[in-house]
Amino acid sequence: MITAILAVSGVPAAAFEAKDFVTYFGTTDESITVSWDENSPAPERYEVVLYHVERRTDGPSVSVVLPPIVLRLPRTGHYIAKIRACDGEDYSEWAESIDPAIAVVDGQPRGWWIYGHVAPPGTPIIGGKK
Amino acid sequence: MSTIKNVTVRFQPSNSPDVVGYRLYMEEAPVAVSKVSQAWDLGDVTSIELSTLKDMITKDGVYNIGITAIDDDGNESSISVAGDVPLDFIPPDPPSGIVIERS
Repeated sequence: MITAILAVSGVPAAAFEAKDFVTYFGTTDESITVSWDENSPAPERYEVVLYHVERRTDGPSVSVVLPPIVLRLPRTGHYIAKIRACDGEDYSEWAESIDPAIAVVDGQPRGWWIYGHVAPPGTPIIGGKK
Repeated sequence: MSTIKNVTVRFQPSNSPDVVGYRLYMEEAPVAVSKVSQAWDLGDVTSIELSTLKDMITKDGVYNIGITAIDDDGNESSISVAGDVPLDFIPPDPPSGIVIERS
């Protein structure tokens, strides 16, 4: 059982709180790092998925042997991190980052999600030509 | 016939994978440029000559210019700003009083 999904790093600390969980903000060109407590005994691997809330779709499943995992937000929107432990074809239940019984923010039990903004372009450069 | 100087705005593209275009904003200084400023949709380009934009400002002055990225759902990024840009759109008056003197 995954006992805790730790808050992401690589994006600004929680700046806005919605509902009963914390919203992190990032841009879709940034990497985020999601970590969680390791199981004991260790499973063969973990599967991690970013669920896109507005589109109600799971992103691609990514396997990792140990936490943490570095991911990119593929497009604009809210994301919930989902993680499960896998041994061969046996899978645990999904642990979700919005579940305050599992998720952690600043060391405290609290659900969280991430909002990915469109990354801005570079600073405009003004030039002239005849 | 007078020639108006072309002013080109260039910028590095957004690194977001779902960007489909950009929007340019202009505001005459000292007013800060923002998403309520006059705006032009540029399409998926990272360089634009201002004179090609419909109803472009052609008054000499100092301007704040902003660019945002737009994704395929219409979401808009934060604004990247070039501040206090002097723009001279109006050509000088032509010379007058031209004479030829026989020497």
